[in-house]
Amino acid sequence: MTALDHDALLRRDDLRLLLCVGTGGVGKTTMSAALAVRAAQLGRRVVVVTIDPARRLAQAMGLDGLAHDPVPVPLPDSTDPGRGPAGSLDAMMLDVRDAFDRALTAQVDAAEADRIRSNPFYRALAEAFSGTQEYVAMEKIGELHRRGAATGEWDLIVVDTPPSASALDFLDGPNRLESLARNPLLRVVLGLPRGPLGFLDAGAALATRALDAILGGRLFGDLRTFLRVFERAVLAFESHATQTRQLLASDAAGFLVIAAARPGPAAEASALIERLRRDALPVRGVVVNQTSDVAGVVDEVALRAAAASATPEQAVIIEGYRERLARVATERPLIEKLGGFGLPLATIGRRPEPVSDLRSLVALLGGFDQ
Amino acid sequence: MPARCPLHIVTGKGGVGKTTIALALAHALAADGATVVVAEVEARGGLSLATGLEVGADPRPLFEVAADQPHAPDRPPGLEQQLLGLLFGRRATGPRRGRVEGVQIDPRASLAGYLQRHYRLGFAAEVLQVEPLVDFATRIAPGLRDILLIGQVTHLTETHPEIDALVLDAPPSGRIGSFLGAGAALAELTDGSPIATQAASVMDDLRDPGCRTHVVTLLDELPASEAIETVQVIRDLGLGLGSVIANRCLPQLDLPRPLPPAPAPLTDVEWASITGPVAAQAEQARAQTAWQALLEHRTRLPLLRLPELRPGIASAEQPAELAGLLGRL
Repeated sequence: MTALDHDALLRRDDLRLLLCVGTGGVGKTTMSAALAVRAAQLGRRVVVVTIDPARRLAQAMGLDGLAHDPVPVPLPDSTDPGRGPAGSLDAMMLDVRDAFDRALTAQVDAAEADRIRSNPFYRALAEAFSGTQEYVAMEKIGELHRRGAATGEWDLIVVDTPPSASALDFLDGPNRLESLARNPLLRVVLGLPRGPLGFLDAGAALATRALDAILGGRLFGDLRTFLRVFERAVLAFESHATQTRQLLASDAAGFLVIAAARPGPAAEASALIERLRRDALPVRGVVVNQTSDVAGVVDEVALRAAAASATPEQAVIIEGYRERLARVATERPLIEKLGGFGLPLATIGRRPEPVSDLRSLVALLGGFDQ
Repeated sequence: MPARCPLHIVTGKGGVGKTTIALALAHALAADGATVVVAEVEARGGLSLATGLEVGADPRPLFEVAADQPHAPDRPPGLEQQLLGLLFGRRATGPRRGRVEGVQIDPRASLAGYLQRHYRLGFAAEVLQVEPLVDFATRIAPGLRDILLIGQVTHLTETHPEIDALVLDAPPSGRIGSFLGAGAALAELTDGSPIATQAASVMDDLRDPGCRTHVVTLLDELPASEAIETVQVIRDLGLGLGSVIANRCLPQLDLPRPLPPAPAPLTDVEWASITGPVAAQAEQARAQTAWQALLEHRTRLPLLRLPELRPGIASAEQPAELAGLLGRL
């Protein structure tokens, strides 16, 4: 197994976009924040896009207010003399509702924007439709990249991807919205201009009847109104989305798969790695978070001898250590399986305390600046 | 009219182990000799992953549960007993073997079922099998998809009268408010439209005293804060609450203070490499206790602690591991 050297990765000038992907509960948000701070310490000009950080993490990043646009984050002082000048760090939270609203209403005049905001479908789509978050995140990545390239404010974007039922949603979500806007049957049902697919009319009549039966006339009318605007917005995004996708597949991008040494998250991580590879997206490594690592300097023989001579007080500690070793042993095959992909891999031990400041955040990555 | 079948809804932040707990809950309920169906609605194959069995649109057996031994007064109650006590205020005594079954409720099938039951329009659902359109029709109307899913779950007891209890592996707590509140939201929008009737009937099912929501959490900042918010959301919806279930709890460890010196033949450095991780874990366990106290105080619900399942077990062995865990405590 190759060890993942995050410093070397973060120092690479050609890396412009780093995405932390993985299933829920594995620490993506914390990890992306830690990597962003570290990259800035190493001299990069970084902007980190976080999604729903824990309160303490948000406070540590200076994000406890609303920060829908990047705000500067003061870096902790460095005690590492050999490291060179620090860069800069900006952080922002992705507000899906706000970003979606801006994107959608940018396509229409003010009066129509107001009308669309009061449309029940708009509210539902902004909040609930699977794919919206991912779509908005993708838009935001593209926007930050263009802005960074134009102004020179940033040379590295670190992205925490949205929490979702499946780690693969980040890749699939945006397409879902687009294929919806382009679906010919839907366009017929809604009375939108359509391509040369007249044979769909019969199916569309049935689908119309079914939708009418489910929704009733009023809601169906609202739906038609909404989709006309939605369609325009989605198609207008499309050139951006294509650019962003090219960026994600290029050498300027890197995906880090965040996993945990538990069966569910480890299986999800494996599926995600396979998928990223199939899509020819650049996976830079795997981070297995929340492991039970111990230094392991005492061998079993010495441990047994110590247990034999231990007082009851010492025995309590040795027993606790043995339990910990048993946990390490059950995590090992999961980590080895993830290592089997041949990607650089790092493990990060469980911490007793939540992150309280930027220094402890960076310390997660392994003993820097301590 | 017969009493409604008990419905236990399991939610919690992503990654806290909802599916495992839903199975454990079903196991506990089945210890009474009951037939319990665990239904998942997220189409991500969580039940298949957890049990190693193919779970599809029709209920299939997952495992059998042997009747529990009569509870001995000198033995502390097992987890199963604790769960039953929490849920029903009684203990398992049934002589029958219980069964746990699993089913994956899918929006497309739910839509087809709805159209067929109410309009004899099942064929339209066939037409609607154009993937994005189904996705669209069942997701975009506020709450429509959720109403269809919940309706399909409660409808199970009509097509399968042998079911004694339902456990719903529900969406994560971030979406549970809109999921369970969908009926009310939809009724507002659709006054008089066909789906409004369905929405009202789903809300009736959810407001039934036999329906309770359990919130799974970890004793950790993010999941615990979210659990507190979730309990409030469900309370605000006027729905019944069950318990808070704290998963993956570390064992409490009382370390002697100050730490004793190294036992022979270990050097001080070696001893420090042992005491370090153990002290860190004891610290973590203490932090968990603080989150537990906060959860109990803020939710005013019974809280059940579950230890961490041994990681690394093959998925096919999970039910047995689960049963073993239930028996061991």
